Parts: sequence; structure tokens; C-alpha cells
Amino acid sequence: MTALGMSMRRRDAADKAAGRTVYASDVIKPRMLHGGLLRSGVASGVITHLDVERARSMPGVRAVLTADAFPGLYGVGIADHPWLAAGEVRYVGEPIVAVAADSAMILQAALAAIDVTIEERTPVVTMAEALDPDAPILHPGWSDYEVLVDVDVARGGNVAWQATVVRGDVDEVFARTDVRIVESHFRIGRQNQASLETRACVATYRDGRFVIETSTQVPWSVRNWTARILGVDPSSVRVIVPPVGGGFGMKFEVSLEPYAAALARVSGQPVRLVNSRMEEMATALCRENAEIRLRSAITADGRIAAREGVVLMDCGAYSGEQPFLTTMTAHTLFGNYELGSVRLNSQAVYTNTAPTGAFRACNGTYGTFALERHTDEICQQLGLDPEEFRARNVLKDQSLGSTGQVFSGNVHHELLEMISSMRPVDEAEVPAGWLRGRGTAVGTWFVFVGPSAATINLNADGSATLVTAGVEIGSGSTVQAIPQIVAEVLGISPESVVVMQADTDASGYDVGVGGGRTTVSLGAAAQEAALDVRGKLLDAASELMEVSPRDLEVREGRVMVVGDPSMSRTVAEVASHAQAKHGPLIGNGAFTIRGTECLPGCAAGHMIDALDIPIFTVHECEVAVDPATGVVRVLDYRVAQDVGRAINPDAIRGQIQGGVAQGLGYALSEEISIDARGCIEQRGFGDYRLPLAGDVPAVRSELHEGAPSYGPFGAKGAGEIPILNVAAAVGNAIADAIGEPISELPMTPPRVLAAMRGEYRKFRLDHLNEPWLTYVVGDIDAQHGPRAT
Amino acid sequence: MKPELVEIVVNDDRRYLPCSGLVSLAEVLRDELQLTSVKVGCSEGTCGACTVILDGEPTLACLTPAVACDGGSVRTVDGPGELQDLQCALQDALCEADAVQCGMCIPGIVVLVSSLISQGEIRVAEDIPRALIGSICRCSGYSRIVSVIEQVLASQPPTSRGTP
Repeated sequence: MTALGMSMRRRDAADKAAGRTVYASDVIKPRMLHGGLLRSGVASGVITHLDVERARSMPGVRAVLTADAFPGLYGVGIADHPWLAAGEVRYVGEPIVAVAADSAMILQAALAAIDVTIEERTPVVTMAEALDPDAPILHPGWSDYEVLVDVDVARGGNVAWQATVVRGDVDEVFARTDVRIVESHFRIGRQNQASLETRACVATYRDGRFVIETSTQVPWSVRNWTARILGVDPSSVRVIVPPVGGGFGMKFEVSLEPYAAALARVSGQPVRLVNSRMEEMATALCRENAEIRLRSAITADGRIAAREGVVLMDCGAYSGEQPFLTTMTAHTLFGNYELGSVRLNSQAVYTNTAPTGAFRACNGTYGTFALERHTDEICQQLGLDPEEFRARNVLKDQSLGSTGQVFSGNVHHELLEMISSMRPVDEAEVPAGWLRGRGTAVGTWFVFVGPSAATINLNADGSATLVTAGVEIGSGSTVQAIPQIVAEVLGISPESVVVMQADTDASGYDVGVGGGRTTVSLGAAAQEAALDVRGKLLDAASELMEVSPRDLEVREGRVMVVGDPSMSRTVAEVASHAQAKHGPLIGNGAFTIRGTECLPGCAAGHMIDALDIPIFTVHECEVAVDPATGVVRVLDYRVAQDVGRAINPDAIRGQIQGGVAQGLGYALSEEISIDARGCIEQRGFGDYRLPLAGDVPAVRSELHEGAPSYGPFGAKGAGEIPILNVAAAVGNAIADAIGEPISELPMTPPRVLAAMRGEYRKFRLDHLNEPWLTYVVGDIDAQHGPRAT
Repeated sequence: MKPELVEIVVNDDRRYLPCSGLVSLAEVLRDELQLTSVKVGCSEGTCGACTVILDGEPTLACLTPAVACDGGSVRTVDGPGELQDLQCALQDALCEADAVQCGMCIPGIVVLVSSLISQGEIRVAEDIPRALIGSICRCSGYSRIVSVIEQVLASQPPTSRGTP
């Protein structure tokens, strides 16, 4: 029996269901203090007076820290983010003072006793304001900030980062008389990750080192950035990660850990910091709001001769993940289809709002929404059949992507065929007068591959312990797919493989759990470690059984002679023998990105020029729209997803159901609005409407296997992509139902009613309605150099 | 503020718990008794993760001041009492259906649903979405949880489904 393809159950489910699982927010330690932050109530201003002495002298207050305790600047692409505000505040919720006290009540009293005066300025709230030539510059010292990656980037003023793609001569194509031009604009709102466990950590300081138990997706980033922010040696920080109560990308960056660590050192006591839901609503690293202009030149035979786009992404007050994410528009908004000439400018723009960040499939979600709405608009305006148009233009074997990478396989085509065979036979009942529609959306995403390390101890009892920095975030990778991969290589049962919880003192470096990379990167490192230890196991068996290792195999917990299973020893017997004779059996594995070529000169300012392991998916749904209220009901939802190899099919389907549910929230109800003072108006789940049990249908899914991947046993990431196409499929279905375009997310009832009135027919964002070159920072020709066409 | 002691029977044990002001039942259970099965997802009564049984009724512990429970009886998922069989059936079925992901919402859902089934508030499959209206799960997309509840419901003898 093989461990691959079986829907193994999770060893952690019973304790989770019984409430016995201890998350970071549940950790209690002797003498533990309550930590908290004084946050700015204004979006932009200068701190003219700060006096913490009264708070510091209160009984029960053990530590009070201000900006000078956090000397290092943080960032992903640019180090622009002070961990406590010093001279200036740039968003509502920005931390100014960190406090630790004996109790939550004393903590609140101490925070209230801090005397701070902020001279308020008019904040820059929208990207249109930020890009106005007369706008105040949020970071006047931007040119002095360190760029943290080896990329030549154009930036300046309120443009934190610019990534462009230029291929061929777009102007020449758009000027041709034999093409028809379709233009669309889109406005996209933010989405809060809303993991049920807020960001939380407990830090202690002992033996001259920081020990941080935290709810994170990135233990190694937390280790390295905590050290840099505090100005200490990275080896003095140890990060341990208990089971995480959801993250969805919000926990892909360092967050509360440096505060807790610094407070623990000063007080000499453990310090716990847990964000309240209200703090998470104000400061979560939301999926960013964005504005998009897109136009295409379509030939008479229905091909895309040129495509041009401008994407503004709101990074908030500090750039965070957005410099990286400007890269991804090339592969999503400008993905899916074969294109002639290409021109795309994506900018991360500073505003006086809370910083944004990564959220499951990131800007791929709205890139796909805009692209697939645009695709349906092209077909609608030019009288083309959308099914034929998609089939004709999707990426095929040997197709060029927008940056010139060469794709392999005809996966989109096969997925489109799968989805068309899944259409419901019977129509679901809807109330009289409701309008029905169907929407289809194609999507392309990737695995965020990168370095991972693994060590396997093959124990004398025949069990295996895998040491990695893999975090159990809820997806189940560390209790399902990864043990299954190790078990498959070692010929033992997956139940006898234990994955140690992430601990940076024990495991080697890892990029983190996110970007669909856990099963692929950590799984591949684990597979290599398993192969390493398997070789040693066979050597030991060879010695014990006096048979050449070439004639041995291992399965069902036994090392046996190929073709003669009666000649065998248990793995435990061989491992015991090896341990006694040579020492314990240990295997190591390491993995990283292989790299994929793109055309030189196409991409500028990009952190990745090509998708290393692309993933493809097609979604389709039926909706009903109440024309009186604009309420949308999803009647049926179907997914055909490229998974490479399904290591655990049930776990993948669980990810698909959950990802589609989050996508339905994004598409229909999860709205974040920001007022003129830069304040996020939604304060909790009372006014931020997450999907509930009655909102989400049971999603039907088909898994496509066999597409190329260098992941373990051909696997691809399966957990991130299920959200990618949801807003797109639902948007197309709504447009189909009401016979009008819709160009904004989320598609709340008022917007659906506006769409029904035809308000998106000529939807234009004025500040994007200029010639493409107007938006370019710097000299575009110099940035791209000599380039291929 | 000087804390006062409240007397609450928690999972059949009589406890005298210090509590100040309007500190919530959830905080007291978590901080004083280390009953961290009572999860806190929102502290404002909108996610359901902190659901406990107070004097026989499912109750949001984050919105309930501990002082208001003086003399009362509280059950958490750790001490199900008469709900034991239903809770175990739900928990086993959730594991078997691979319905648990991050798991933060699950104890509250188990407490709520077992109580509502025993009270006859959930009798047929159509009752389930309404019963879960105050329970947020951000991971699973609900359908497996709903199927599990349907399955447990179907396995209940009619008499134990409460009176209409």
C-alpha cells in the first residue's frame, strides 16, 4: 500500500475538537506579564510631546518602551518601517509606546496614563491623492531607505515600488486599424484575513537569549527581523511556533514579537501580547485595495494582439509585502492568455492608512477578477463566444507568458473541459423574479518556492521524526501530506512519522508557511532527507542481511529482498542494528527554487521574473440575483484545479471548500471602508460581514493530476489557489444574470443595484485615464534596456 | 480595584474565583482556571468561539460578566456532563470527516450544537445554518461541519431530539 493519494486523517484534530490544543494565545507562564501598545488615533501627524513617566511609576507596571528601544527599520523590499513611531505617525493604529504590566487592568490604566500630543496633519487617504503632484510625501527620506533585495527598482515620492513589463510595441498595435480596442477600469476594496486567532505571542528572556512562542507563518523571518529591529544578534533569538489559529498571510510578517521580546528583557519576566479583534480590524495586513486600468487590442480572428495596464496597489503607510506583490500582476492580470505586445505598470503607493500585506493568493484574486471580467467584456462588446475565446487564447504547451517564460502542458484546456462536464443537470430553485447567471473564470497562480531544510531521525523503534521549520497553520500539511511523503520514501506508515513543531533552534532555515509552498518546499526537503536516511537504512540492512543494497527495498515497515519478501527485517530491527553499530540513522535534505528563464529586458523592478511552478485552475458558478435588493445567492459552485499530484485528496478538497468560502466573502460581503481621516470604519465581525454557514454552498471539485512540477512526487501547492478565481467567477455570473458589467469589489447589494442601473457600463477612474507613460517613475527605456520582442 | 470572589460550579467543581469589575467569564475561565478550551476570537459576541453552557443554556462567555455568574453552573467542552455522548459523537465525526483545520472555532461549535440538539433547537438539517449564525469558521467553508451535524442528527434516537 502506498502512502500517497490516501486521505489520511489528522492526528491533531481530536485535541483541537476537545479544546486541548494550546495556541500561542493560550500560553500561560509563571510571572507572565500582560503587554500592550499605545496606538496612534490619528493618521498623520508629528509627535510633539511624549511623557511616559507617570505610567512607568504606576504600581504593577514593569516595563515601558518607546521608539529608541527599536532601532532597526523593517521591510520586505524596502526598510521603511520603524517598529514604534518616533517623530511622525503615519496611520491610525500605529504603535507609539509598548507597556508590560502585572494585569490587563493595570496595563489599560498605564496606557491611559501616557501623555502624548500629536500635531495632526491632513492625511493622504486615497491613492489618487497620493499621486497628485502637490501631495505631501509620506516618507520625505525615501531615497535614504535601504533596498533589501537585489533588484534595480524605480521609485520615488509616494510610489514605494514600481514593477513594469514591456514586450513588443504596444503603441503600434493599438494604432492599427484592424484591431478593436476594449478598455475596462476596476476598483477593488481591502479584505481582512480575520483569522480566528489574532496575532499573539509570549516572549521570555533567559540565558541572554530571547525565546518567543508566537502565532506566525514565518518563524525564521520573525527570528531574523526581531533581531534586526532590536539591534541584537540573530542567533540570540529563538522562535517556537505552537499550532496557529489561522493566518491566511497576515502572519507572514514579523508583528508583535519584537515588542514582547524587548519588554521581556527589560522586565525580566515573560510577556504576552495578544491583539484584540478591534486592533486586528484596524491594523491587520489586509489584502490591499487597488485600482486598475486595462485595455486590449483584439484581432478579427479573436486573438489578443496587445494588452496594456496600470495597477495601483495601496501599501498603506509602510511598504511591507507590496513591493514583492507588484511582481505578481504580470503573472495574474497579465496571465492566463497568450498575448502579443505587452505593457504593464504596477505601483505600490504610500497612503496614511494601515499597511497592507499578503492574504491567500494576494493580488492574484483581484488580478483574476479584473482579467476575467475584462475577458467577458471583450466577448460581450465584440460579439464573441466567451467559451471559444478562452479556449483559443489560454496558455498552451510552449506558450509565452507575459514576461516571456515558456509554459508546458495544456492544463488550462484540460481544466476547461473538466469544468464543462461538471455543469449541473437540474436548475436549482430560486424565488420568482430572481435573475440567474453563470460565470466562468480561468486562473494562473504559482508556488512560492524557496529555501527549506529538513532533518529526519529514523528511530530505533522504526518511527521517524522530521525536524523542519514547518508550521501547522490549519491546512494540515504537517500532519497529512508531509508525513505521507516521508512515509512513502521510507516504506513505513504515515502514522509513524512525527513532524516536530517549528523551532528555529532545531531546524534549518525556511521561508515560511504560505504561498502554497508547504507541501512543495518543505515536502521536497523532507523527501530528500528521507531518501538520504533510506540509503543509510539499506546500507545497514545490507550489512545485517548480507545482501547487496541494490537488491533491497523497503515497504510496509520492512526491508526486504526484491522478489523474495520472505527475506526481510523490520525497519526497527535494521535501525536498532545501525544505531548500535554505527550510531543513529539521520538524514538531511535541503531544497530551493530552480529558477525559470524569462525573456531578457521584459520585466523591470520584479522580484521574480517567471513562475517557477505555475498552477492552473478554472472555476464556474451559478448565481441568482434578487433584482429588488441586489442580494446574490450562490446556487452551485464548481472547481477544476491542477494539483500536480494529490498527496491527500480529502485535505485538498477541504482547502478548496475553505478557499472558495473566503473568496465568496471577498466577492460579496467583506467590505472595508476608510473615512476621510484615514480610519478603517469596520470595528469587528458585527460590521465586517464574514461568510456564515448559510452563505456557502458545498463546492464540487475535480482534481487534475499529471501537470509538470518539480515538487515532491509531482505535487503542487493546493491550499492557496482555491480563493484565486472566486470573485472573478461570481462577478461574471452576476454580470450574466443582470446583463450589465460590474467592476468593483466587493459586489455588495448596493453595487449590484448600481450595476443593474448600468453605472459600470462606462466606468472610468479619472486618475487612471491618462496615457500609459504618464504613470512611469523614471526612464522606462533605461529600466528595460535592450529587450526582446 | 479590589477583586471580589464569585462562586461558580465549573464542570461539577465548586470554584471561588477572584474577579474585578466587569471582567468576562471567558477571561476568568481562561486566566484563573486555565480552561483555554474557551477560545476568544472577538471578545464582542460575534464569533461564538467562547460558547459555554451557563445554567443549561449556551452562552457567550466573552460577553458575560463573571460577577453575573455568581451561584451559577458553567460547563465547558472539557466537562460536558449530560452532553457527553453528543459531544463525543460530534467530535469523532468532525475528525473522521477531516472537518477540523485551524480548530479555533471547533470547541465552541461542539458546545453550542450539542446543546441545541439536546434542547430540540436543531431537529432537521434545515435548522443547522440558522443555529450556526453566531459561529464563525474562517478555514473550513462550513460544509463539512454542516454535514457532520446532519450525520449526528440522523443517528440520534427521536426521543433525544427534544420535544417540538
